Amino acid sequence: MAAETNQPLLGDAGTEVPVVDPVMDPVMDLAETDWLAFAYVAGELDGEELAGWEARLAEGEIEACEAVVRSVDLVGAASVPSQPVVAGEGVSGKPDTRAEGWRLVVAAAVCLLLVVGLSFRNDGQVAKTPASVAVSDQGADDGLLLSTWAGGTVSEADEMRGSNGSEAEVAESELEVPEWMIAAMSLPEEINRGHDE
Amino acid sequence: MRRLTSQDGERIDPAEVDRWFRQYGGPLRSFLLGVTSDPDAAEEALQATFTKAMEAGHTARAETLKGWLFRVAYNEAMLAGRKRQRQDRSLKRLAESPLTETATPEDLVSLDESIRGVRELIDELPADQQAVLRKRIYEDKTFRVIAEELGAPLGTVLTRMRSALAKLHQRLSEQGPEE
Repeated sequence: MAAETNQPLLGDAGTEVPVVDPVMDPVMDLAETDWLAFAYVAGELDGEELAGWEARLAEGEIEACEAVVRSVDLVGAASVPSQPVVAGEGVSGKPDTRAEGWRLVVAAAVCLLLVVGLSFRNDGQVAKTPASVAVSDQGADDGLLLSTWAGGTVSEADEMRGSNGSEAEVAESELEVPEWMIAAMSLPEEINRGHDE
Repeated sequence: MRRLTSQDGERIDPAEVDRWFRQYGGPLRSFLLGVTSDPDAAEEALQATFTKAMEAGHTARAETLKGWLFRVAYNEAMLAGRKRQRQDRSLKRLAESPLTETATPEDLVSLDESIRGVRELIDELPADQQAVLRKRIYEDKTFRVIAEELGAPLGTVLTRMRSALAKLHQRLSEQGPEE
């Protein structure tokens, strides 16, 4: 693409780079090394200029190497597609971690409400079911059990809603607590301890 | 003269090389991008550079470490045949390379500021400088082609570009501390 340039572009003696009026353009002080680096990166160096420049790079000359770094960074910064950068979101499009945190908090709160709500409903259901084992003396454990069970059925219920759309049926089934689980929680502590030993 | 050897005196401490990578990895990647004009090739050469650093980093001197790394990086790019012919060089390819691939959050903030600053400054440039810069960087046209299109002498086009670059470099140096 740049094959047609055969003459030096860098303002050496004999080239046609005009003098710039310093009053009109006071920032005309780009270091020669930076100009060479840009020309190199842009593919505008040729012949001896190119060979000389590459020799400097091969020697690891800091000034030349850093000038290449600056030119690449400048081109990169200038070339990033113009898109509004949302506050808190880097140019890489990484999600805002604070927003993600809030989403998690809200989701957790919704889950908690569901669990608590279902627990209350399950309390009533257990009392009305004749086959259920009486669990009157172990309020704390029962609450835990019911909460756990109800929590476990939320996702199942959601799946069922997705498949047949019948919320009433789901509500019925999700309140069924297996008898074996309630019986297990109702066993006297001595028995539990005996099994453990 | 301080050699960068590990406690056994033979090999460089891997933790030291890791520190080099964190300190110089970004500039070296940009450097290799400038040398190869190819993001993939630059990444390969960067890996090779630090592999070499693990093998031979103990021969480097602390005072000239940065130059040593640049030299190794350049040589690795050459060894891999990644040196692009001048005709193959393209600012567009550079522009397509991801600037944020391995950037830390702090880097991203700094980068974001740099991009904003550069873009603002481009918009503030005099129209004639802006035209040259946009044609050279965004449209990837050579200075000679730009001169023809604008009906201006090549020297004038070069001067406008050089002046625009000077301002952009100044803005970048104000915003991002150089390594």
